[in-house]
Amino acid sequence: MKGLRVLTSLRAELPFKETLIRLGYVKQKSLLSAGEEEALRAEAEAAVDCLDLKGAILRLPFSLSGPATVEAGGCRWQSRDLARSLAGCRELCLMAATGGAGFSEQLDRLLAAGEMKKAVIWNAAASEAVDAALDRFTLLINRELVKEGKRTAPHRFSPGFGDLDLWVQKDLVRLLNLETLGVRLNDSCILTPEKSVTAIIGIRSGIMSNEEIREESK
Amino acid sequence: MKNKKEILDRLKKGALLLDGAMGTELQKQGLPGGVSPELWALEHPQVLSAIQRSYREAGSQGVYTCTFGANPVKLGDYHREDVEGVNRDLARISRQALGETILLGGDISSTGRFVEPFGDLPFEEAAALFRRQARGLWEGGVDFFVIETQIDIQEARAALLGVKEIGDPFTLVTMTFEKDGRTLNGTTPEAALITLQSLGADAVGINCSTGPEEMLALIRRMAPLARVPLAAKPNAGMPRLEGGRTVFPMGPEEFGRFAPEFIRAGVSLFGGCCGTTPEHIRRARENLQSAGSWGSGEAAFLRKDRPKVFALSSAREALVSLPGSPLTIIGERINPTGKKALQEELKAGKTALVSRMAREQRDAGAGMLDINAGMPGINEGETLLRIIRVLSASSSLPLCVDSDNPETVEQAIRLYPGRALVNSLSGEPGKLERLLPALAKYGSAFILLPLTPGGIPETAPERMAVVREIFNRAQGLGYREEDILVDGLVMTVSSLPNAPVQTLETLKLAREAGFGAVLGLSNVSFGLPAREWINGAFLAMACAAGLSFAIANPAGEILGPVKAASDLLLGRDPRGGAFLKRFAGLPAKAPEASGLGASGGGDPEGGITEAILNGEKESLLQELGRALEGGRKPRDLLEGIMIPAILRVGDLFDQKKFFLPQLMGSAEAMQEGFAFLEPLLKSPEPGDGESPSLRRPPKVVLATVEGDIHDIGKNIVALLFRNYGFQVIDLGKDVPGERIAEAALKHRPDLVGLSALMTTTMPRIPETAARLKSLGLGAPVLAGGAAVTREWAESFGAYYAADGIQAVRRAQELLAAAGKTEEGPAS
Repeated sequence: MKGLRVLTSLRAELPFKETLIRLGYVKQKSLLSAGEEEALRAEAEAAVDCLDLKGAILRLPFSLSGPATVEAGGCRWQSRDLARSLAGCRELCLMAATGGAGFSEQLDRLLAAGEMKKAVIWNAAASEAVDAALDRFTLLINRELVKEGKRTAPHRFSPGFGDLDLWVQKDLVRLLNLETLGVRLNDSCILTPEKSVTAIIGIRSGIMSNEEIREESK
Repeated sequence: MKNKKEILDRLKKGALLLDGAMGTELQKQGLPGGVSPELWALEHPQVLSAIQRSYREAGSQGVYTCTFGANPVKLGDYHREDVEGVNRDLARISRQALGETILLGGDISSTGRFVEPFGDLPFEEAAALFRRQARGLWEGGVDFFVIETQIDIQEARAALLGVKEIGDPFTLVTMTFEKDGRTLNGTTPEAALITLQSLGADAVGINCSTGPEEMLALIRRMAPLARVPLAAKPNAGMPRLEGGRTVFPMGPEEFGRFAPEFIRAGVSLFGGCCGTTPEHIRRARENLQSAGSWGSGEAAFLRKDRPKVFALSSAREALVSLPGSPLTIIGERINPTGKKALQEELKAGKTALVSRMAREQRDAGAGMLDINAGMPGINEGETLLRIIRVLSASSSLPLCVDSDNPETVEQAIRLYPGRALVNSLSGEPGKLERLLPALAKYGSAFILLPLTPGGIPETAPERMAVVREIFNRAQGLGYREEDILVDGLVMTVSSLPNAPVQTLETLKLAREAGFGAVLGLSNVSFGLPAREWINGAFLAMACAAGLSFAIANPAGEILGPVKAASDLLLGRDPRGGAFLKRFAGLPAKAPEASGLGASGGGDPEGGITEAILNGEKESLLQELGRALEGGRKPRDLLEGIMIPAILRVGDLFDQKKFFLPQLMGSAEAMQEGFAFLEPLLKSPEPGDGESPSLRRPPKVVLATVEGDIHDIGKNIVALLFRNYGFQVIDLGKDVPGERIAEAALKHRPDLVGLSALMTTTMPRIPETAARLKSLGLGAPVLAGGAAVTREWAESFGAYYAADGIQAVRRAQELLAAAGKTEEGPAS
């Protein structure tokens, strides 16, 4: 696909606060001593160290044919929620990030060894690190869009959110050529390796007024 | 085209004011969305000329061409293939508009693709793309080149080499950093500066990124390491969206006030990026004039008090060694000699072991990594490149390229996305002539082995004579003393008793002459027993003689402590921070608990409860052992202490005082404790009666349904069920309904737990439930998973649990209702 940008060997970052929240930590309620926090952080860092983070980004024009049909890259997606999230946009970006198969193997080994405490920390840290990669992709896109007087829409949208069917993953895997990054879909439209995510985000032109955006989102 | 020296001389006299934004100015003049700004400017030369003239009139002494995106990839999106022509013509329009007195910078930016090892664009292909653009700009008559808004250090390197390979023009490279002070892929400003200035950039800096205030902080980090002029082109503040428009909030006056601060911070080239206008530049000029800040005295690259710094970089981090810096260990493990597993791995083209060795060495204290792929049966060059690709991503430590083959070394340092150290260069005839120019081209630091064709000089002064001879040649190619580590040459003390003294003397003389000093330690003890002690003593002596780098296995039991102690004693660890960090925890301190312990102290009951609450497996086993020795019955320990403790854990989890890792820690400890007691519980004790521990434990079959691979939640549930005395038959993940039915028929469970994470796999739960029902199995089905709700589960007669503790409680309720057990945990 023309314009496809492939990112390999990405730096994996640990969003520690988000990892704690994913693990059920509640501020001012949960008990967490300094020593426990340090040990938990070290474990989470070890998990993130094992990720082989890669990703892909593709910018595409799209059109809305009706209030719940988005057409992009030769695909047609039925989703009122997606169409709403793209209100005020003329283009969109598809993106994906994966933590690599090696991480899943390590996690499976922990589970098989019954190391559940480690496993839950690794699982949460990796999920957050892969999500954080999409945040960085969004930053990158905005860094470039700003020179065109454009910005991304406020929120990303992923297959499985709202009324956007998980089967849309099939199109995203194909358009983003994710198989070359080792990402595949099983018959249930679940991405493997496990720590893989895809998303769609709209691109707004800076010359559109808020009224126009509101009008389009109706 | 101005001579590079002319521009450098100009910068030595004082700062140069550059232009402001082009893209946002073109938009104001009618550049529509969805078109190439470069091609539009080509069609509207009068608009481009007017913008550039307005910058000249505002005071810009250097103005960029409008060729930001005029590379083959981006022009290709608009079906334009005459890259050279587009660049040449745009440069000529600018020259005509600006005249000869303004320095015209040929602007090159990103292709938008990522370059290997950070993307799929091969490095050589990237360099070739940039060469094409640079040729066009050169033909168009630019005075210098600008490679700007780079977020990928490897693309910046490819562009710089591309430009340098068409001639030797003055080239400025500016990177873009995010709010966290790193590029998108994690490069720090220090690492970018070290990499680019050693690769031949004539000026390095930052553009776009942030507003001036945030950028100043990054410039100040770069200044002490700058050997070349620094540049800064900040945005007019951080962009924000107002009324659907992108707005840069900083006005000309505020922006202009920052200009003198940048010059005082050491910047030699200052301008603006997104959102800045000719008015911003005018204000900057006025402020510079009124502050008298045009002089050269403050330029970072001219500062006389700059210390001699030995600097290396990886793609992400800088390694800076000053005369008083701690010893840096160069991890030597990634070398196949004598390592069968690594040999096999490299032969098979794999690198997982390499990554693991890198991590282990880093954790053991290595500051950089030596990489060597010299072994029979493999292509050394290809293998070394593969190692570089892998470690550039998985490790932040700089690499030391270790090969005897000059061609292999050159390939490696061309690809390496940082400033490498090369191991090594000697006076060996032929090799020096071949390797030294390559090292200079890529700006690599190197280890200088003071060998001659006749062998190893015996005394330190003789070795230093060889050092000086090689250094004189390197100096002619731009090297300074601080780019070189002199190897003291370690000989075996068992055969040459005086050799270690000469080695130490060589280190001392090398340091006095301004070089860094390095040793490969272990050879000194070859052939002797207790080698670690000899190596350790020698390391301490070498540190005192000025050793700055040691090639060694950082995991050595003696090496790490000796290094830490030597750094402390020699004042290289001034407040003892590193030493204390390493040793303050000895002897091992008990982990700090959450403050939830029961009585603690000598009471085994309190100790058992505390160990379960704190998830301390070893303490639990110790406490159980102590209690058994004290005559407590195993069943009392289980039912009277452990079960109440795990119930308390469940309560704490319900109250959100505990969260998942603590719940799992306690559950794992409980499991260990139960396994410890289990053999003792098998034989009934007098008076056991109807003790719950002798009843048949309730059985549960658990599975993550077909098509779903996410089973960590199910594993959590399994562990908790076991904790609460259930017999768990865990079928794993992606389990077809018929297998679940077979297992249910075989085991006749009291409950079947099914999980699914995704909406596409959820339907397998009711399908499986129906299958179980059709077989006449009366076991209730408990459903769980991220998208599962109570309503949905109840719609087909299943029960629902939101988490592991709820699952256990729901199961207990169901069993109690069926009269199969009491409510509450059993064992």
